[in-house]
This record gives sequence, C-alpha cells and structure tokens, in this order.
Amino acid sequence: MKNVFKKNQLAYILLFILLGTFVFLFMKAWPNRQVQRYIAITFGALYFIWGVITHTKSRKINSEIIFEYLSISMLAILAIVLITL
Amino acid sequence: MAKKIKTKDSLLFKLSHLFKPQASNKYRSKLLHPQSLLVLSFVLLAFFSLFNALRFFPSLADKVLGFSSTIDTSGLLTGTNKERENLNLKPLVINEELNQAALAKAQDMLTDQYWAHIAPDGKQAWDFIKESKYVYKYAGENLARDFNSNDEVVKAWMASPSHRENIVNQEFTQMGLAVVNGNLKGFNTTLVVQLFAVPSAVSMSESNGNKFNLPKAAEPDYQESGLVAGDKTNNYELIFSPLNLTRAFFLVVVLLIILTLLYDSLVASNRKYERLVGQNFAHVALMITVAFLLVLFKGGAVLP
Repeated sequence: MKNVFKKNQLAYILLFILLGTFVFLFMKAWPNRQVQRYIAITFGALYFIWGVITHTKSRKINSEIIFEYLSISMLAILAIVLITL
Repeated sequence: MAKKIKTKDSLLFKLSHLFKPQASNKYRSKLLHPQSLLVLSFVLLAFFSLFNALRFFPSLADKVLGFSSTIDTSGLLTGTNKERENLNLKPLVINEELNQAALAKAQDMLTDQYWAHIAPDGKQAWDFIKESKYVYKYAGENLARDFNSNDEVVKAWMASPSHRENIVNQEFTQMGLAVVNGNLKGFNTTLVVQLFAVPSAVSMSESNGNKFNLPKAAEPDYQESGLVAGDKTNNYELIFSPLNLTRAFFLVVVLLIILTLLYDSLVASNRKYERLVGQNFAHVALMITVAFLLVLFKGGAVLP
C-alpha cells in the first residue's frame, strides 16, 4: 500500500481532500436529509471519476476496474442514501 | 477427480475463495469482484426494504422495534430560550392556547398519518391556532420527529435556516409546545410541534381600551404534565430503533469490505501477485469514510 501511495501521491492527496470535504459537507447539511443525499451521490460519482482518471493516467485500466469503481461507489452511495431516507 | 470436487465444495474452500486472492478467483478476493459488490448493494437494499415492510405488520414491529426519547416541553422551552438569550433576545413565554393548538396539530398528524405543515385536507398551522381562540399578529411553526433528546431537537432547528429564523425572531413573544408519542406510518416516534406567535395588537385596539383580548401567558411555574399528551409508546427494556438497526447492519457490511480489502492487499503483497485491479488503499479510505458517517449520522428530521 505504501508503494501505491508514493506512486500516486498527488492523486491520493486529492482523494483525501475529496473525502474530507465530503464528511464536512455531509455533517454541515444536517438536519436536511435531502441535501445529505445529494452530497452522497455527488461524492460517490466523484470517487468513480477519480478512480477512472487515476487508472487511466497510470495506464492500468480495463473494463473490470471501471466496473469495480462503479460498484464500490454505488455501494457507498446506497449505504449513505438509505440511512438518510 | 472426486477428491477435487469435494475440496471445492468444502466450506473452507468457499471462504478462502471469497476472501483470499488465489487462482480460483483470479488472484482477487471474490467479495471484491464487481459482481459481488453489486450483490452486496442488493443485500443492503433488500434489508432496508424488508425492514420497512415491517410497518405493515404492526404487531411484529411493536415486538421488534421501539422508540424511546427523553424529549419534554420544559427542556425544549429552556433550550429555545437559551438560544435566544445567546443573541440577547427576550425569552419566550408559554401560552396555554398555543399549547393546545400545538397539541391539536400533533394529534392531527398522528390521526391522519401525515408529516407536513399543511394537512392533507388543506388545514394549515394557523387554523389550529385560530381554533384555540388565540388571536395572533404573526405566527410561526417548527416541527420535528425521531429525535431522542431536547438538545438534539433544538440543535437541529438551529442548524436549519428556516427553523432558526422562528427561534431567533425578535417579534415573537409567546410559544406553544407539544410532544406527542405515537405511531406515524408504521413506526413509533415522538412528534414535536413548536408554535410561535405575537398576540394581535388589533384585537387590543378593538376592545376600546377596556377589555383586553390578549391571550393569557402561562404562569412562570406552569405544570409540565399539562403540555405533554398523546399515547405513550411502550418502552421496552431492549429497544431497537429503526435507524440504529439499519445502521448496525450497514456497518457490518462496510467493515466486512474493509477487512477483505486489507486482507486482499496483504496476501497479494506478500505473494507478490501481479494483477490489474482497483486501488485497495483508495477503496479502504472511501469505506472508512462511509463507516465514519454511518456512526456519526444523527437521526431525527425537521420539516423545511
């Protein structure tokens, strides 16, 4: 994991900023659950885009990886969205 | 051949196939394959749907689920006035007619099974105030549900601009409160109705200066018991609130994924597998964020 982090340092810094912003905005939006859902969907989509771009830049991408990012983003969004319903 | 089939059918092999990267799963834990992640998404959805379907079986839902809150009107009054005092505003006083209007509104929501400022029959919050014989110049309404404590309710209202506007409105001088426990759309909950008003000055001038028609303010030492109404829900010794149960199940799924990702990375790194897969470190960071939000998620809802 350390090697992966070193190789994609900039991408990971961006990811941590993204996730930190996600937590901040999500907590800030409380008690408006509708806004919380929009935030979760937006950041789930951004995570998918982040994954695809990072892999495209390192030229290590195939359809399986795209589906992996899509499915894990979907799972994350679903867990948050369902809890806010 | 027979031995091989037996090995593949064994529980140990299935577990290994599910969690450990090896030849049978293309050197990637089966649980982390997109298909498996999609199945897990459906599991979350199925659990949520099944859980919500409980509302159609009230006897079962009452046995499994419950809701317990420590919300009371005196706590809400204190919390609301504390927020006003922080802004150097005059504290609001409880008015009996407004209390009755708030109680009527809360009971109407439980009777007609709705959660809105306007009832399905078009009845507005102001209609409840008028029915209680209170004559107002301005009035406002805050609603809340599913909260556990007074502090949470007031914090949620203060975090919502439209509710905050009512609480810190310097025009308002009186307040009515109702905390009612009951069953709303299949789940036991606590509804909170907070009404704000400033008595009408018009009614004062119309009374020729002799008879003031001001709604009476409650005595400073008003009785708490008179302000809480409604059917109290049964508080079981062990209570599973719908939110906590859902949250616990989702957390288990998320933690399972995190542990699988870590194990997958460890094995792949030790055995130096060359494979083209997503970045586990990023997935772990995302899933930890989700777990964090599931733990920190505060229940309760206010109506915008």
